Amino acid sequence: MIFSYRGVFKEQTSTHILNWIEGYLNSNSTVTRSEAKKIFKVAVELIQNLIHHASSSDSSFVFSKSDSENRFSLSSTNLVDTVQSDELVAALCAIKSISDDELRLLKKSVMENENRSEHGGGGMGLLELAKLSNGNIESELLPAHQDKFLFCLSVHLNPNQA
Amino acid sequence: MDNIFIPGTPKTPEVSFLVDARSLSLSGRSIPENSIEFYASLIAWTDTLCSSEGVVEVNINLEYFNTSSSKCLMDLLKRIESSNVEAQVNWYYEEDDEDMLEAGEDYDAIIDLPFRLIITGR
Repeated sequence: MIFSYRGVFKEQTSTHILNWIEGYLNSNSTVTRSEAKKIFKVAVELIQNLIHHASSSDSSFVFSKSDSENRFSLSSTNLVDTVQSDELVAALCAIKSISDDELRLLKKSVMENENRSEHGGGGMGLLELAKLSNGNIESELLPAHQDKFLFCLSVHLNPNQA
Repeated sequence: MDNIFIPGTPKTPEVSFLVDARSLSLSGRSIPENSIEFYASLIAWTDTLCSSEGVVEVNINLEYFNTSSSKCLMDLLKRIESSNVEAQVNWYYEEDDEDMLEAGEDYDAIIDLPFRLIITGR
């Protein structure tokens, strides 16, 4: 099963996609409620990140379920500039190199920090995605045009191993 | 100062902030695109309530919240913490929802207010 959307991300887009994902998870008897909540939360963070940080129609979101591995994969792609790409690579390297306990501590310290972005976040999105997926998060930067890169972020969840 | 009641939506929680009971209750889900905008009036209301004496009760019974809401919840609880009022925070979580339990534990560790972590059925 694969669901894919490419285009501009707005509040309405997010509502439609999240409704669809929630309906799919609710109708899937192999996914427990707590697993469904985890998957849904990953979708919320990825899609809202696109709403806040992606302005072009080159952005995309993919939700897929592999029956053979019973694995859910959620991916987002958006254009970033050189500065953003450097920051993202550094943040992801830091997150991937730490244990679950360290990740929780880091998340706590970011929560406590009073810095807020325009929409209320402040650097917690990637930490939350790493935590929800037990670190099963991958990223790739592909050269796009001029000084832009396509930032591809994938989060994998194996419900039965969660 | 008036009570605040806002019905829940698929993205925002039901809000019931009561002056006489001195209670603040949030339930449902909190995943708005712009949490700062949603929580601004709730934080202002909390500041006003905490400027008068009396125990404040906070009930947080959320199914989901996004990371920006988690920061706004932190701001709201910190405002109560930094006031001189006595307060009790009741943090509800579903029995098998370890993420929500951990979130409650994390707020409890950061905020210097008495927390009760309470299991609920679905």
